[in-house]
Amino acid sequence: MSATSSHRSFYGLILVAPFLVTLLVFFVYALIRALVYSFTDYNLFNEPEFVGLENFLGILKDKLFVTAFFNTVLFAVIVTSLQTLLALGLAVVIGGNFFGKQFFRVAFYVPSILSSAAVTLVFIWFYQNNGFLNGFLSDLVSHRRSLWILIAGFIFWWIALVAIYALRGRAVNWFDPALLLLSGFLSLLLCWGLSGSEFTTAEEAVVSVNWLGTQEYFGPLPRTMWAIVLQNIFTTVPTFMLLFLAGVQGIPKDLYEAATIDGASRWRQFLHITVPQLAPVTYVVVTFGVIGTLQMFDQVALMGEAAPLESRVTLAYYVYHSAFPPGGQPHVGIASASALILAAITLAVVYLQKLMGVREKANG
Amino acid sequence: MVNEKVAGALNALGQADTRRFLARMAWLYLFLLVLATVTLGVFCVAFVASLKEDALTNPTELSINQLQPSSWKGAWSLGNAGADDAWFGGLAPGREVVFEVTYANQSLEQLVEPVVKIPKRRSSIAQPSAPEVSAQVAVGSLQLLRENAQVLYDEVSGTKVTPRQGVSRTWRFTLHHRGATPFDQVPMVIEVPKGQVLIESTLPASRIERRGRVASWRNVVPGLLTYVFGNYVRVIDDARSLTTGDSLFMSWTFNSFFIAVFKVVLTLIIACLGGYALARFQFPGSRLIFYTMLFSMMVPGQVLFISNYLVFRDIGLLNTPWAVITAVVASAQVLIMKQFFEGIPREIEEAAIVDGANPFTILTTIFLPLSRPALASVTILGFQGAWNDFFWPLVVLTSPAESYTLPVGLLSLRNVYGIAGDWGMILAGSFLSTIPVLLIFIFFQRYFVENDTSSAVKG
Amino acid sequence: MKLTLLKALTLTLLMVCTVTAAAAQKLTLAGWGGTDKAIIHGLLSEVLREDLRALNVEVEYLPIESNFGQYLMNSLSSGTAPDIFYVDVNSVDVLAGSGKLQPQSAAELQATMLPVLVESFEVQKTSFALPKDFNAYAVVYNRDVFVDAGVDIPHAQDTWSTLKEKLRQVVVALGDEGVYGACLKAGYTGGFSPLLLSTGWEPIGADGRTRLDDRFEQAFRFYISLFHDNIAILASELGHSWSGGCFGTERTAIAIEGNWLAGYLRDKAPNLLYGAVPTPLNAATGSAGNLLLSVGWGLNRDSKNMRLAQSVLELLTSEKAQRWILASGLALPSRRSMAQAVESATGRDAEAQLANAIYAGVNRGYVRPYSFGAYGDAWTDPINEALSAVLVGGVEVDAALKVAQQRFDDMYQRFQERLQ
Repeated sequence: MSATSSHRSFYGLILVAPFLVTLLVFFVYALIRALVYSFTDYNLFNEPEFVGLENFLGILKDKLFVTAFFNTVLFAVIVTSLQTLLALGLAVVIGGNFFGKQFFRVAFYVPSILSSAAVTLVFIWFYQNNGFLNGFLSDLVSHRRSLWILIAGFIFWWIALVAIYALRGRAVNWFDPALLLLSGFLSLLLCWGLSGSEFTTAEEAVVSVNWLGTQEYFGPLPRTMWAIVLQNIFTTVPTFMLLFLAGVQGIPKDLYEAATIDGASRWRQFLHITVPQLAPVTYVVVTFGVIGTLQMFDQVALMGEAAPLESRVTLAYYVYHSAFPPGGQPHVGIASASALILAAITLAVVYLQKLMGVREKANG
Repeated sequence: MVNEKVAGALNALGQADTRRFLARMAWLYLFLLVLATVTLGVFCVAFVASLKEDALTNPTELSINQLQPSSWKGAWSLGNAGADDAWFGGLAPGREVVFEVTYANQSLEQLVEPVVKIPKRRSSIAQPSAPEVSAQVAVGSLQLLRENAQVLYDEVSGTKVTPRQGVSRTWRFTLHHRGATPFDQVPMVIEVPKGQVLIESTLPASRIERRGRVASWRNVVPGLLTYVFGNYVRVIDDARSLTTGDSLFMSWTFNSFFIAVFKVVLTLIIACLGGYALARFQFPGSRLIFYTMLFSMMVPGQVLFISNYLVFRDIGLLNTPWAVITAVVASAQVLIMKQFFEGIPREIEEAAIVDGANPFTILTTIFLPLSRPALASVTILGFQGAWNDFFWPLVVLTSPAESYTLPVGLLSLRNVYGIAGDWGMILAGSFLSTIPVLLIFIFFQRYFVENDTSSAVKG
Repeated sequence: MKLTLLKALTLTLLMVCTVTAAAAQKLTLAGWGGTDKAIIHGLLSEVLREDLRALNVEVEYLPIESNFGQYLMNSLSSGTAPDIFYVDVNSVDVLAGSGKLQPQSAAELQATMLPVLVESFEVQKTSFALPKDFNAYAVVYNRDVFVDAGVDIPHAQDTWSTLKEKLRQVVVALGDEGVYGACLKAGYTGGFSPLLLSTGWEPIGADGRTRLDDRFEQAFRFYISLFHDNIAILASELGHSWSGGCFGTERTAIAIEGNWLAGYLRDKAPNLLYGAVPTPLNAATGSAGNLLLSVGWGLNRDSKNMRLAQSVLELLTSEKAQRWILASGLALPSRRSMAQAVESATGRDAEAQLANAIYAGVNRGYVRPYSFGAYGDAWTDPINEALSAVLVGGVEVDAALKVAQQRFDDMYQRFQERLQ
């Protein structure tokens, strides 16, 4: 028996060897070296020289690092919470299986499977000062009269139709889609009828918001970072929504039926059944979200000169920038120190999550 | 009587339910459509823009020259006349193409004969020794075809558009290839005094320059495909390697394929062996390996890349695909395989163990055939991940440009052409680079979806 | 029999010798990608082909499209660096500090170059690279814009104020067509440095300190006023990252750029009719200012073929080579003897005018190199950030200058510590 056992452990070691080698070389050794370098002054040419905590103290004094730190943390918090809430909300609104899922699934998945390089380039074009977004906004503002007529017409027909039905003594739901579609159609007709008259003349307006090349802040983040936030949400929400949707389908229907009999409102059902039942999915979505967003690099690198460094820098980019500064000397020590700080944040968040995630599951 | 009443009430109830059901459906699909439009809309408008000569002019304009049947007709016939190639165009020696232009101005006296030229292109980006088109292609004399005494046209000056009323004249001329070199492209410029406006031509002008004085064509003998997908052709054709003359974009595509395939194979080997070992074998340090593996999945790549970079530098593999392929820590994949193997009942392998089969035989003959779904998922997601990877290739592939992968290549396209505002080309490159992953997604959709769902439900 | 064997042996030996001699030695050359790629390739494969063959050497050019500094640092540290490579004047200190740059000793060759260029590649009196060519700024204007606006074209005696006035008139006449005076860049390079230096401001004082004095503030405020008076806009507003890109769209009347603009316009706006004059004068000092940008050829100290590399270096800086660089619209020759060639440069009028305007520009007034000693490239950061803070961040001038001065003082402190 002991012979077989040692035999098997020999085989086990052989089998695990390829993985073990890569793990040791590319992870354990690399991690140890990063730790060592973070306490040294090393520029790829000299012998690494021990400098104690100087690198860590140095980056804390570096304005760019501080900006990168806040950009990263706030970006992660904002993107993760927005995308989780939006995805959850959308999934609940759709609320289960539907016909034609295959088709919509493609539409919702595509943005998240494409390379971030390609997607980011498309979005940089989208955000150019004379790009699509500003052009679209300009068109909206230029045709504001038609838009107002459209909206006003819609509301008018809506109220009118409900009133007509009510006068005829037929109970009608305000949100009856047939009613709304009819009002929409009628208001389009109205707009079309008025086209060419001075009510709908376009007033040339040019919206020229500087989405990327600016240092202005909007709330806690530079506007450039908000543009990246929007891009991230765009690409991840539909996918996460599908995850939540799968979760929603898995919730036993009798839970809702029992709650309805108890007289619980929709909102209470959502809070006390849907949310706890979805806790495992939420845990995955949030964990993926946090780890992904904390390491955000591709978008920043591809943004390049389209935006000032201060408005787009993240910790991951700061690390790369310190290791390979354009035209300057590599600061391997500083890069390693800042990379370790990034790792510490990531681990802390994952640990915190684990604590909370486990508790949520127990409650559910 | 009572029965009828009940039946009526039931009927009404049924109708109300149907109504509510239909209403719900209508809302649901409206909502899904809006959502799909929002998610795909950006890509759709970007795709249209990628066809334009200049992706930044009138970005919201969707009716563009490249999508007009009249331009298709012109491109088709010019390509046919120039080189018997209606799809890709060109101008062959001895051939002649006929071109028509219509100019408008406010009065007949101001309407002068335009000057047509084949410009000397002293391009500094293209190959320096390329033969000069202007020396071999001659412009025939202009022939006045017709006159129109009443036309309405727009005069464009800078960003200002002024509607005008005036007269127009149509001229016809030929371009004759007198030399011996077949050309893929023939540029052309036509100059007129300010105020005279080009309102129609066999092929729409690529650019209006000199504040309205010059209309220029990048290529007057395109075929249909070269015209509509001009930027796509340029992405593949324009950027070339100096040493070999190969298209850089094709090199990047090849590298991406090469790297992705080998990386997936390597990952599969490591993941199957490692997963099997961790699932079924007790050996010293197995728990330590397991926890290190879990830990490694949480540490960002930015911590590890400096040391890994130095490792590859020291063994001299920088700027080779092997630096990207071999730097693989397949922790997540090992975990997937381990979990899958653990789900396989032990009874299945026990008979084989008793027969004295060695673990490799058991792995290949029993475990792997049972693990097709997991293997497929690791393969497909691994390919997608390798194809899209940006950070690590950026670190180890710096020169020459032929060694890049597609995402790194896209960055260099952005640096080279972004400075000239040539977004059509950058967008075209982006879209081309996504085709393989898109195809894989369409064919193997369920692996993407199922994997996410199962991992989500498992937590 | 024996004799034949001996004969055969000698013959083979001889053959081996000739084969080894005939096999050309290989040298690699690295520089920027983009426009430089085709130009240097043309230089090697056409202009210098015979000379290289005479030296029995094959030279391969490696165009680096990505971050050149990163590439150079990495390859130097890993011992895979090319034999000869570009040395940007602002990175010469860092590269010399790495100990991988061979000091230049060919005094005769250096004597044929413009002294100001040679000096800019010196670190502690040792020269570390041979100036390849140089560039500086000139005012490039769009003739059609000035004709259509009915405004006089810029001329060499313009001061910054008269130029601004001309641009203002252009905007008045053509503003409704979306035409602006110029695109501004929020940075030290570009239009700001000629303006700033024309005041006589010294980037780094004799004591190593940078002082943002009245002259600096005057230039700073003037530059900002171009933007606030709606005469100029930011390049990004036209979807470009530099003022030359804006100029190519015909939406700006002028651009203050170097000779590289000629090559750019050749590709992107070949029909644009432009002209050029030297950078404007400062009304108070009566002088112009200019920033001298230069790139040199550096030798890898670890090169296995130093002698050969040295010979190739001489070829690369020969008159023939420099004439090619000039004709390709990239940069101006660094040889003194080439001044005549620039002045009599035929070819396209506009391109010759631009080259002349730049040449004239570096011969009048305050000209300073784009190099900042041990501070390196980072010296420009406080100025770039101050401009950016005011232009795109909406910060007040006083506040921005205060921050910048503080950063220069900090930098001086750090620099002092490092020297000790």
